[in-house]
Amino acid sequence: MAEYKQNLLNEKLKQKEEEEKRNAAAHADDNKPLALDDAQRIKVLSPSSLVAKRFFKNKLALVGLAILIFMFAMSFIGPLFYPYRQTDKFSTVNALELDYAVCGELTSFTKYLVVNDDAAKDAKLLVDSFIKTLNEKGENSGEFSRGNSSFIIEKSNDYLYRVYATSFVLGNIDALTGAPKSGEFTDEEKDALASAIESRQTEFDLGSRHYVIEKKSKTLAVVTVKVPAEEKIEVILASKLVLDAVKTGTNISESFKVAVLNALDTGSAFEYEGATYTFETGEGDNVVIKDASGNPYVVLSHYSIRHASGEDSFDIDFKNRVAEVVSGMEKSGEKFATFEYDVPQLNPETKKYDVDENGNYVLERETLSVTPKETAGERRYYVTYSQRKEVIDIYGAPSAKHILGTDGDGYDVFSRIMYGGRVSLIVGFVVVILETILGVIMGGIAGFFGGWVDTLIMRLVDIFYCIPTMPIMIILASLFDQLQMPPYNRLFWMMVVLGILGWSGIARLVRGQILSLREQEFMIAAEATGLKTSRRIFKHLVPNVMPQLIVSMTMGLGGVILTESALSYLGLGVKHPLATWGNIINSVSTIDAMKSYTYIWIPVGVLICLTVIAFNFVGDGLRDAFDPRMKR
Amino acid sequence: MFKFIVRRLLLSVVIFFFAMFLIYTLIYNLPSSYVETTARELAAASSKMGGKTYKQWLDQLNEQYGMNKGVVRGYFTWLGSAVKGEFGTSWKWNMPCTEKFSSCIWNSFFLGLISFIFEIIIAIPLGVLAARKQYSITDYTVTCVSLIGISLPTFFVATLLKLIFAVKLRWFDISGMHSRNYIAENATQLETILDIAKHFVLPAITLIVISIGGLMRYTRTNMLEVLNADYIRTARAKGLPESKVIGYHAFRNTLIPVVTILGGSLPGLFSGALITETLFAIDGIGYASYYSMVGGDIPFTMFYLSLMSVLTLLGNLISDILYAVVDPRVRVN
Repeated sequence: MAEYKQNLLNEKLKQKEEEEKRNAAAHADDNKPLALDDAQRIKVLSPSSLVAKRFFKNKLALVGLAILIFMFAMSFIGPLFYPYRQTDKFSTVNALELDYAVCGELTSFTKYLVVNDDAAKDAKLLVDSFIKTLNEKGENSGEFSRGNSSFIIEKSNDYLYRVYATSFVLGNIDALTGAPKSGEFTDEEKDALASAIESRQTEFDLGSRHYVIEKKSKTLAVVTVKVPAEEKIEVILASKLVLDAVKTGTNISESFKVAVLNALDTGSAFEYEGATYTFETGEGDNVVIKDASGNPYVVLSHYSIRHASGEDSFDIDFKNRVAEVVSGMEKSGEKFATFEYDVPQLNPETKKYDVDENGNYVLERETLSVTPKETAGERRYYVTYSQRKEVIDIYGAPSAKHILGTDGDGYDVFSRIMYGGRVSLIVGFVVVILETILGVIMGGIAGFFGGWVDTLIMRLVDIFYCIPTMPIMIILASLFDQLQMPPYNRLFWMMVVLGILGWSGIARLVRGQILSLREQEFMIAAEATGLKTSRRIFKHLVPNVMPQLIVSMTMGLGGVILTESALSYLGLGVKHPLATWGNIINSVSTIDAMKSYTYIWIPVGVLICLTVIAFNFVGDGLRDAFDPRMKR
Repeated sequence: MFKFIVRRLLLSVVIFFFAMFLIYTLIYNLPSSYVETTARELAAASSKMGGKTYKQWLDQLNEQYGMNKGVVRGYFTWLGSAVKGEFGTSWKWNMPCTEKFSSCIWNSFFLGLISFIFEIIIAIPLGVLAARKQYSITDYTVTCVSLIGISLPTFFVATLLKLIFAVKLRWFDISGMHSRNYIAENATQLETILDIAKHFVLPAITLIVISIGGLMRYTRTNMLEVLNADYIRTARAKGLPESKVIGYHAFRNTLIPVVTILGGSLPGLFSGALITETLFAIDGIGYASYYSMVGGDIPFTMFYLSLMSVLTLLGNLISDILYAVVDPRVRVN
């Protein structure tokens, strides 16, 4: 009930006040001249609104303020509405004449094992050197031996060599019993060996073959067999011909390849595992092998055609086409040839290869060019065409997509400018706040206590004043480089060190002000009321220093931004990939880049200037506003 | 007066002692891996030319800089040799630090001197002019220009000048001290001087542009203060011509603080311009020390930092003394 009455009373009072106001407003129209001491004549302004009024009268300060508001909006709000971030890499699609396929004759022989035994495996390792020796001598056949094995090698034609074994190691046996230890022996051989050991023979004949037992140790003997020259055992086919399956991905067995190569020599159809295959000479020098139903199964060609990456991924159609062109070039001796073929191309919009529903590439008809290149005596043909490739968009010129273009890393310059502004401004604020806190505490203590505390702190100030900032920062930066410090840690330490090196000026200012303030009456009053020392310093003295502090902080901000940008420009401050205004300019500081990419560094330089100028304008305006006596 | 100077001098020595102690501690506490890696790289680079080995470099460092002792003892070892003028052999330049200093200081000094003179010639009259016509367009222009000058980053001014005068107009070389076709043996002394002078133009303009604003503002503020003084009003009341009021009464009094400041910045001529010299590849002390510091050359870095400290203290000392000379009230304290 009482509350209700109270409310009612309040309502009444309000009504009365409003009525009075209305009356006053009505009387104001009366044109009654006001007396000089009339309270209505004097508009009372608080000290802060006085300062604000004076500040806003200053045109330069207003310009500065506007610039600063713009910079802050651009750096802190702008990125929210800009589609790209500072480390978004942009790519573009460029047409580059790139190798697509490499075509050449095989340089080394492919070895096909006719029989899969030790002798053949031994021979496989030696075939290349045999052929080399044979070629050096200029002979068509020769005999070679290595250890216990000897081989005959015969040249069928330039592309095919046959290797026969005449003597090879059959295996190891027990020297005491003649029982086989390794290798394959027929039953007859086993019996013969056992009897030979028993009769202590070291050599014996079985059929047309001659066996030699060589004792290696007490229990081990090696059996070598010699085959007469007429009864040659074919072990290896070495060929430079390339067998390509017609259907990409078909696995052709080695024994089939051997059958093909053998049949090629005799030049007719052949049978393999019950099926009949026929030969047919195809385009170029190719030989097409067709299966029983007449479908092409394997193509035999002189050329190995591989993708530029080394993969065997082309279909037979393309290989035939290339082989045809290349053999044509070899015959005519031309150094350049072109042909048209359907090849995959990057879709410039999606920057991907388009794929149809079967998972195959969508092809486009392009002109492919073939050029021979000779390296180390080998001639190879390179098939190239103008391929669309995704490349990093380096130093892209300004366009609708990138207002200021892209830089050397493919980053959008405008987004980096916005993020760079963020870092530069944050560095400025953090450093200035840090040095102000340090400076106010040290200067406040020095000024308030005076005496030896003052002397000590002021000498400390002198010492810090005498340490040069820039060299120290450079030394630390080269140290950070050596330690490979991550960019964010680096930024942090840079701010800390700049703060520590920069407090001396503010301490001097605060101390000077406090020295004169502490003698004033209000401090005596504060002391008389028994306030604590810390409260007297930080509640009564420091607020009185505030005007000068704010001015020197504003001016200092510009200075710190200059220092930071100079360091970053020299590559010693904030590091890639973090952007700051300084290192954006640094990224185009070489003479050539400077000439060509003025649209990158001039806007950034102007931004730095504008920001620092704005801070100085505002600082200047604040000084005049706080202390109109200075202005006069 | 003598007592005053002696006291200030002693104080400076004490400050130098402690400032260098701080710097020495910083260098001393560089991770040993850093020092050793740098020494190793240097040894690898110089061994081809018959330079010192890695061990010799470190031994020399330890001997002269006391890096193998405690901080305090090490500091005194360094101070002992530094006072005698022995700063050791620079790692980067492969010659005694003092020799490198004397070989490049005059480039820095003359570059500094030229810009200093131009700075005075331009800034002081403009500052006085701005103060005389306060709130006029001239005043606003001067204020704006000086604020812009203070706000310009050195590297931006340098790059702009290079772009305009070296790349577009081709009046000057982009950087360096000598022209491409300059051959030391064939050139007369005059030609050498002219060639170097031509290469000093852009760096000097850079230095003038960035330092002119401060002096201009300082002159203007002081001139304004003087113009509001009672004796100026008296002089005007006497009916003196305005030229005499400004030139005789006001300007002379304005000069007092200005000369103090200028005197204080005289030693700075020997400290070189770190960034400007580096950007224009002027073989001065700033350029030399920049590459020393970036390359981790401890002897030359310590030498440069002590030089900077001494010059700063000397500057303060000179301006204090000058202030005491022109204003007797200061001497009382």
